[in-house]
Amino acid sequence: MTEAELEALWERLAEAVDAAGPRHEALFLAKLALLLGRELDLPRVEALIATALRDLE
Amino acid sequence: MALDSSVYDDRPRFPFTPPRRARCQVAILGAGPVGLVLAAGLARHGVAPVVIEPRGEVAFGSRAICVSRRSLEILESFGVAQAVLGEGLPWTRGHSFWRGHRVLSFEMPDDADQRHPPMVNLQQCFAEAALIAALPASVDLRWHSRMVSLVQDPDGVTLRIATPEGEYDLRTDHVVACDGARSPTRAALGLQLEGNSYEGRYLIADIRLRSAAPTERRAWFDPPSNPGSTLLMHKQPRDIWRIDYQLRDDEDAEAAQQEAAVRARIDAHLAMLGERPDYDLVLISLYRAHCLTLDRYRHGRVLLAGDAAHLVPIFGVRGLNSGIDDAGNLAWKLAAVARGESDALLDSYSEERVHAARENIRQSRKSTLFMTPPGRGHALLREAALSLAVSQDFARPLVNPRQSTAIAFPASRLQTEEDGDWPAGPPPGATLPSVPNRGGHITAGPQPLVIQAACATPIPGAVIVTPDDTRAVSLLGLDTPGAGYLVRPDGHVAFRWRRFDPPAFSAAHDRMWGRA
Repeated sequence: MTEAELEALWERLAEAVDAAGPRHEALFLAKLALLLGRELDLPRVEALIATALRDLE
Repeated sequence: MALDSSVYDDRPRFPFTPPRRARCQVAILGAGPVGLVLAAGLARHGVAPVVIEPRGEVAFGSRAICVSRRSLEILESFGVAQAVLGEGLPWTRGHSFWRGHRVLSFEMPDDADQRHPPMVNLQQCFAEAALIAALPASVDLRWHSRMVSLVQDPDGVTLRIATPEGEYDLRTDHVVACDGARSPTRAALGLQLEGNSYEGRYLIADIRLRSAAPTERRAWFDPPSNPGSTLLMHKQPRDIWRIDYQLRDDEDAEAAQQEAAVRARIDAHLAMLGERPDYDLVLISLYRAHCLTLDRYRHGRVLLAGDAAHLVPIFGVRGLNSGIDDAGNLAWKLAAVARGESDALLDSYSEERVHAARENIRQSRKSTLFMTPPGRGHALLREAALSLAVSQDFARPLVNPRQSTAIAFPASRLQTEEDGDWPAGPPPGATLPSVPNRGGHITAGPQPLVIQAACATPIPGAVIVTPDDTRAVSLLGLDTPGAGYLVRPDGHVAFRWRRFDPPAFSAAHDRMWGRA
């Protein structure tokens, strides 16, 4: 993924979270995580989960 | 509580009758469904058991209502399947809903090969009454009788039995404790169940309702009628419907069980279904899921079965059905030991059924995480799965209720590894499927069963499958002359061979009887 594509992804996700709205943002992100995770294999998903769990504060 | 439970009032009651004999080969503690099925099985195998039961009547109310195909096979081999099939309601299909959407419709495997439906609904009290009526006279059922002490020695077990007319000693070779979740036998042996219990609570209500809805399993997640809750609905005979719903974590158990509170939730639900809220509340009880088992079911001459040995969540209907499976596994082994066969058979009962309990727990734990999410993470991911399942096929298995199915033993001291590659059919440890043949079915039990593809010198007594028996050939993979199966009395495959080798068959036969 190029830097430009990454920026587009980042922006698209922001818009989609807004479109889901505050009541549904967690549900939307959980659905998206399931859909994206299916495109990968489990060890890769595990590694990405570990990365996303870092530095939450 | 002003519930009208009269539908369950006409259950049979039994008097105390003084014991006829002070000695038996097998004493069964508990006349619940597992004890009764085991008694029928032992009688079928030529052993006359004594059954000790503190109550003077069958269980009150509906309790366990779903009897699986595997259980029906066991009941059939014991000659008592009609006790359930007679009044029970067969079903094959279920639906799950999320909010206003249907997210899953499932069909349990059912085709022209099957001789039993995948599931039958019948209130436990009616099943018990029908089983008691079907028991042969050789079963000595002793009501109003309570085990007060149990002493084992190398030659047998002495049970002290308390009755309305005083106490007496019953001497027996073996004891099987089928005395339920709060098993006094388990306590007397100093044993404790191990595993997990779950916080989520379900309220269980039986209602009498005239409804044209078919016999199906229906589940609603977060329905408009009861936002945030989960409801299940099952039809039972005599116009009784079972409704289970999850209580909110902050709900007070006492308040939730008040009739007005239960009616409010059921009224809303029936309104959503377009049913008239014209019903009687019959029963209300509360339920929590447990995944618990002993690590051994044999303790010397005492064996444990059913809820006395293991507790599994109701989701997936593995409670009663795993207990019937215990009885199916144990009956032929106890009868063989009574005839002088090796008591290694009783160790195999423990090993096989502990394996089955762990497998049942593994499966029903998944169902339980879905039915009572234990935290925010499970709740959110459940919602994600349900929401995806509205339009995405891949998500539907996550929503599937995982109903009880027959369990195979990957290893057992009684089974022998197969030779060669098989195109189809059950490997050693699996159960024989329903195999239609020549207008009937090939059925296991009560004796061991040998099935063999036609050849020049077939095994005496074998059920012969010829190339014309196309369904049996393809279901069992019997495409080679002389190939065959050795099936245990409980329907599990002990051995199968592509090439018939008499010494190998003989060794497998001995191993099945625990002789090797």
